[in-house]
Amino acid sequence: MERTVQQLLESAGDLAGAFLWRRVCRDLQGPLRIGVVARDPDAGRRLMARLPQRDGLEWLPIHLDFEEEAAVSLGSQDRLLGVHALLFATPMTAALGTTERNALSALAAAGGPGFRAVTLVDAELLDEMSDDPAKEREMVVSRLRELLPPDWPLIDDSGTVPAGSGDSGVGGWLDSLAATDPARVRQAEVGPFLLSESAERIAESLDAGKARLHEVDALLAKEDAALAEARRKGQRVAAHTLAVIRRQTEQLDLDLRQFLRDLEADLPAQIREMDVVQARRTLPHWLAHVVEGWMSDRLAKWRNDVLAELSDIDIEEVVRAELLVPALQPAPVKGEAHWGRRLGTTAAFGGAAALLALGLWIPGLVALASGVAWSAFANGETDEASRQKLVATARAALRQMGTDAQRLLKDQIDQLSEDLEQLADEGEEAERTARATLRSDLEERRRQHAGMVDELQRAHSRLTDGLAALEAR
Amino acid sequence: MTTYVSLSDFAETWHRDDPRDVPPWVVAAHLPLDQLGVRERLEDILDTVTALQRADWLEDGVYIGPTALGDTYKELLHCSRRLHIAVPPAVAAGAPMSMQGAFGTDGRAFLYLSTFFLSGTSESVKQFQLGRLCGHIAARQVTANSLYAMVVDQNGLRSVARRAVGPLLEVFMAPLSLGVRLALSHWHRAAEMTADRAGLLCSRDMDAAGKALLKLTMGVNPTISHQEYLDQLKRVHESSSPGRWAELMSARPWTHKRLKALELFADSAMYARLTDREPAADALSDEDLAARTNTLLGVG
Repeated sequence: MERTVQQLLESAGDLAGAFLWRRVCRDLQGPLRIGVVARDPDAGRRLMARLPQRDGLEWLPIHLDFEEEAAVSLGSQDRLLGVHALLFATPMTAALGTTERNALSALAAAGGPGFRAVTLVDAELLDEMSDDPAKEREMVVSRLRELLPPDWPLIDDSGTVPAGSGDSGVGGWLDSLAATDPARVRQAEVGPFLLSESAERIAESLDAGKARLHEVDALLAKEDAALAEARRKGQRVAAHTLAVIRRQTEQLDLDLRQFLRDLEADLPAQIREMDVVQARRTLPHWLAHVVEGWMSDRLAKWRNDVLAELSDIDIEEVVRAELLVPALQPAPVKGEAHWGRRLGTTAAFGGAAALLALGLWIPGLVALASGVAWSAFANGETDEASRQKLVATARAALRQMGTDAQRLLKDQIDQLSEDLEQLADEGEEAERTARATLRSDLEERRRQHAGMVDELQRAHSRLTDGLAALEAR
Repeated sequence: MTTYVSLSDFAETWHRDDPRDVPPWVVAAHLPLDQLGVRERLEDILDTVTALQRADWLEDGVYIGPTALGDTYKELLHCSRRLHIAVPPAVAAGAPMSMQGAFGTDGRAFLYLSTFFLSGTSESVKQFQLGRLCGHIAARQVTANSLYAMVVDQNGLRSVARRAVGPLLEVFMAPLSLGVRLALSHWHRAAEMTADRAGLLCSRDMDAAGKALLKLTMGVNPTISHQEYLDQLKRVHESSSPGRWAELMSARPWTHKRLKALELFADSAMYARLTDREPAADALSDEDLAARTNTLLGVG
């Protein structure tokens, strides 16, 4: 049993309990130890002086703090556990008041020995104070019998304890104690008591650990809720922003088409006022300037409209609603090529050169003259054809710019959409990063608490199982 | 109704009333084609011949535009805007770098570019090269240049004609070629330096200009700066070498002369004026620039 209790206490982590048990075992293996408790220290000393002294017998005073409702101090309990029996002294003149009755309960609860008794002291004082001490003593004894709990016998129940002697009732009581195996009996009491105490403490720690675990779980749940809220918020912002951007971009696209139609319609008038050479030189640069300027202004308006609309629905944190002015490059424009004149002139002069080289002077000179004449005749064409060609190629360039603008804007919108769709993830990630330290701390605490609770649970189970096994024995 | 600047007002902001004037940075003297009264007929013939050659090049090339080689087209727009010229059609092909040029006539010029040059070059280097070619247009040298290239058989402008007529062409052209090459050697070198100046005006980056010229010379992206190149030449160059006379017959001025001429231009008051900057205190005056450039234009 000694080893069993020792191992159970150690395995439960109750090293103090194990040490106490080892000391209790040592004390109980020695001389017979009887604890003596008295409310009045002087009365206790007087009793100790009268108690019978035998070989192998020790009387040990045990102090209770009667001022604090008979509280059993740690030292007193330590000593209480190491005694085989307990003798509680109550004065004949004020026997077993309320405080003393409480002390009896406290001593039993603090692991006091099952072999215990109450004895009356200071009977001589009653002789001095009372006219009929015998009758008085009989009344006191009678009253005591009524008050005493059943497991607290009164030693001199016959009332024959003579004043000044302390060995009649006590002696018999000691004899009956010696007749048992007091050490084994007392170990059988203290062992389970210590195990129960330890199990109780572990149960308390277990409850506290579980409570802390629940607190941490609640805090972690709050963290999860915060992350989910950040994600919901990100999704909401992304959805609204995308909807607004798409709506505004549709309007931008419509405006762009209308602008390009107007510009196309205006091209003939613009070119009509210009010298053809000058118009051809400046036209593509003018187209680029006008379209880029319009696009730049319109995109600024687009952004303002998007932000205003988002502001109306209480979304103010959109910083990505921005489109770059697409790089729109007009294709080169061309004037009329006058290929008829060029080919005719080239053929005439080429033929003339060949004929002259071959020595055919007359046909050569005729060809040369016809080349000059053809060149002069064809040169009479007006600039109107060139202007028309310029308008036609400028229109083609504008349409190409419109197509390019739509494609480039669509690419940007697609990219923007992808970015915004990631907003929820990013919001959650940002929140997660911001709360990473706190969460990590909470998770570490949870891990520690969970480990401790598991450990306590196992220790408690071992103790209760061991205790049940001991009680079954 | 949207309002915008009109085309005529926009043209006014280009400061040059007549696109037929030559800009102030031009080195080469104007060939007297207008005075001879043959320009229009000559240009008709040149247009026809070069159009044929362009069609041949296009078979293995591509027109540079907003969608095809868009990055290069962006620089072409930049250069033509900076030099105040119409955006010329430009054909890019896997041709040797020495075949690059501005061809056709002053009124209907087109560019022929080598994709080997365009590959792996920075924005500024591209700007310089495109600016060079556009510079021929702005300086109204395209007609004369095409005529020169046609006669002296340069830049591959005669390759279709050679394939068609064969050696017969050389019988008539060879004597003419030598004479024209000698007669217009100085003018041609000046025209090339003019183009270099236009390139610098477009890129406004002397280092990029040096890299572009070295790439044109060496055929690869150079790993040295033009300064290191000039320093190295200075150490090994022998001024008495008879090879210096070969420049008279060369297709273009020596690269080190072009680099020096460009450095002079970059340090001049004219360059500061043209790039809207305050000229340095020691900037070359227009007269000094012309004199020192003329020295570099000389052979020997």
